[in-house]
Amino acid sequence: MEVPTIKELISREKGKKVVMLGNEAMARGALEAGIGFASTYPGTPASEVGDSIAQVAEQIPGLTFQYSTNEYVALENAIGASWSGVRALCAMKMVGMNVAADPLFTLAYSGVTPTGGLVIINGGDPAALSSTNEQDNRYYGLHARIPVVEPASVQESKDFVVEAFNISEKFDVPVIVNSTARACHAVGVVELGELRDPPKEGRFVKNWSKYYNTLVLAVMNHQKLINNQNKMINEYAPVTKLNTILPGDSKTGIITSGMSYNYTLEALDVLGIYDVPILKLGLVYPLSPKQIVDFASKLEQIIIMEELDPFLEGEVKKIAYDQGLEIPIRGKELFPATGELNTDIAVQAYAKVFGKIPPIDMNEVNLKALGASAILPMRTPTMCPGCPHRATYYAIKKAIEGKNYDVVWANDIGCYATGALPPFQMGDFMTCMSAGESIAAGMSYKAKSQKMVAFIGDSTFLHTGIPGLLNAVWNDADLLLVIMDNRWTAMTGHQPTPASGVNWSGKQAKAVSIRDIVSALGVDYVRVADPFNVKNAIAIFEDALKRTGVRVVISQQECLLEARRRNRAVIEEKREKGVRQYIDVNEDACIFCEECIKEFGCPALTVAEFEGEKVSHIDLSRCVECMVCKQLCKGCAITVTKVWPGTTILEEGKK
Amino acid sequence: MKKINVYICGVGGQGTMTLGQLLKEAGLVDGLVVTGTESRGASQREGAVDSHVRFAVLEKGEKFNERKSIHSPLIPIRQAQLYLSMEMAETLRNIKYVAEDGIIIMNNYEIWPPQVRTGEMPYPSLDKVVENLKQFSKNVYVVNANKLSEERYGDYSGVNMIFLGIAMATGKIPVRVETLEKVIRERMWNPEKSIEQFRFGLEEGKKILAAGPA
Repeated sequence: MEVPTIKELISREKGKKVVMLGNEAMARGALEAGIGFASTYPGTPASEVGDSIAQVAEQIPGLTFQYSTNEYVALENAIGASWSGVRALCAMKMVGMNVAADPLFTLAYSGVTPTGGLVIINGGDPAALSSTNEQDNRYYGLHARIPVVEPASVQESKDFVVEAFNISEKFDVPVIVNSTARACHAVGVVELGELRDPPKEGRFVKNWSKYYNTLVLAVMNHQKLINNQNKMINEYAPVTKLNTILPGDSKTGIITSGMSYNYTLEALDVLGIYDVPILKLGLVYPLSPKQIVDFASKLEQIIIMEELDPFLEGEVKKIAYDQGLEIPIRGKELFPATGELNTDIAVQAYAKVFGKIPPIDMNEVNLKALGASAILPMRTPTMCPGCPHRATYYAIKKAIEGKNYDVVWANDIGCYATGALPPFQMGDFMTCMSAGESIAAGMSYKAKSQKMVAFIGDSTFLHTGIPGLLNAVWNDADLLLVIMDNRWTAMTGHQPTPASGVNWSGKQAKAVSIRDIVSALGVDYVRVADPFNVKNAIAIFEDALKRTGVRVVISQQECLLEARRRNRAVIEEKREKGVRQYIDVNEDACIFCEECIKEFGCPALTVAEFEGEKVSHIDLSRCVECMVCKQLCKGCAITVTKVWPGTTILEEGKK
Repeated sequence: MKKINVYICGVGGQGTMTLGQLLKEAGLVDGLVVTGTESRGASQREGAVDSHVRFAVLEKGEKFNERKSIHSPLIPIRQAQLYLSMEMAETLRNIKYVAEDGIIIMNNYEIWPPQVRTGEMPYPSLDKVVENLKQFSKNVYVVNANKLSEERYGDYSGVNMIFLGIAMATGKIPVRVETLEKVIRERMWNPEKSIEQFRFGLEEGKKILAAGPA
């Protein structure tokens, strides 16, 4: 099931209401803005922005889409489209902005073109649910002098992207649309606007002083950027519809934006407070001093609610100092600067501000819930049944068994990061895309008695891993790099990589050989292992671990989720008509050594009772027949059974 | 303005997201204010997932008031009138959301996390889970959609729709049955089978509710 359908993403029924995900709404906004180009590197929470456009791009003449190899490449491609006079969208998660920061700052100097606005969608992640930090990217706006727009609802996620393109062209500057995981993954109703067709093609109009940034030209463009920003602060920020005021007579006013606005309204409803004036900022950078001063004119106190850093608080306080506004401005003294906020946190804070007693004591409920759920087992994400990464980790674990190796495990970004958790615990650190290999390389010069093993996914390797490996070869590091090649960018939703052999629309494309790349970087020791061939994989890792210098093992097997999704029709048909095989535990032969359960740990393997004894059991509703457990079974108890047409596996399993 | 919150949880891959999407879309078709949010990304890999579904219903003759409507995609604590769980132990994880008089529907199906499979942690007993749930609401209903599906279809293909039918039988979801069926028809890849499963769940749900809470 996919919501919305392709039909709705490109619907021309203006005014039609549809249910959309925040990310899909942002994609729809870009289509309504008439983008002719979109690029992305997938990253939760922003992945569905690019995926939505990928679904429809073929049906919109003049729209070019690409999954780029990484975020700076994505942004540079978008810049190229913008400078050709065509509106361009670039979507990424917040840490991707660090990768894209290099072109970003100079792009701000050059600006865009009168018909080629450029909007960057940034998916933030308070609570770091799918990230390695919580960084607050509104500071990129401040740092690079780029406007930052922040939607609060799914409707605004669409509308604000359209307006962001208008701002971009009007003030000759790229614009950041800052969303958060909660807004990206919010599901709500969107009233569709008009779809605008992109131009058939563009043209680059040469303008050396605008585009060639160095020396005095860079300084002049820097000044131009500041002038444009001042113009925006004076002419646009005070009147923009992105900012709205809910009026009220209370002497305490609230300034907020995005999700915090939603939490504020509901918290005040819970407390029965309806007279507080609220300034909701959709344009969170730059702010209009005039608007802030006007809003504060009858107030005795301003409360600022925002997630993560005191960004708005700092900006409002700067304005207050300059404008002689001498009333208390309170923000982070009331709200936490880490994690995600919510209505309940807002209720507690506003109760304090307005002298009310919350109808529900949040701390008491949380404490009670914690007590009641203490009997719950931990449920950390793990690799799926049939995941090739699990088989790879298992093979390496077996390859070091009984050896006296002191191994440092460098892990990286992707599904395989769950290898740091039991039963493997092969992840001592995880930092950012492709950092594992280079941190391990750096360690190898100093922590000489330890063995460095770094894991990296195929997509992560092609993202930013190539320079790190090249550096390791050039500077003679001592490191085993395991490239976990499952053919897709699996974690974020199976987007293709340059090595997948298909392009963004699923059509056949040139598949780049990771092995050839590794060899070309100067690595002499390259082996390709099939993790589903257990014995062979163990032998390859044993050999690779013995040696010194830079060694690369490419552990290659397609992600089973994707392989099965592609073959779903065939699998279904087989189930109905053909002979199907499945694997099962022969209870008489099972010696319950727990190798399959404790050492391998596939979620399809559980414990059952047989004639009063504990035995391993395969949950047939979850097993995908990778056949790895069959190979590692010490009692040869795991057998293959055939199912004949007309019966289901479950019926057969009960016999 | 009445705020109605439905919390759905389970383990990645069970279909909590799909159920949430169907309910939200049905709410839109029925003209309600709808919002919500769902777990995506890392948490999908065998992890705990949830979906928040929120409706705002205007009373007869009431005018829309922004300050009294729903805005947050997240359900505030103790505000979910209906609390649905697709996996037994998971029912407890975010029990803070259930309202004092809320209805808890728990699917008595176990998915063991790695630490349970390796024997490092025990999986709680049904009795203990129900006992702890009752500290939050007395209205605990234990169902087994997996068993119902297996008995009727020979496999687990009907679990989601049966569970949705049971949830609908509580009468707590402010969308019409016909609307939900229309959405199921449009959205599910095997519409007729899904409708049949949903209706079966609805009938089973009525029986379960008539029997009273655990």
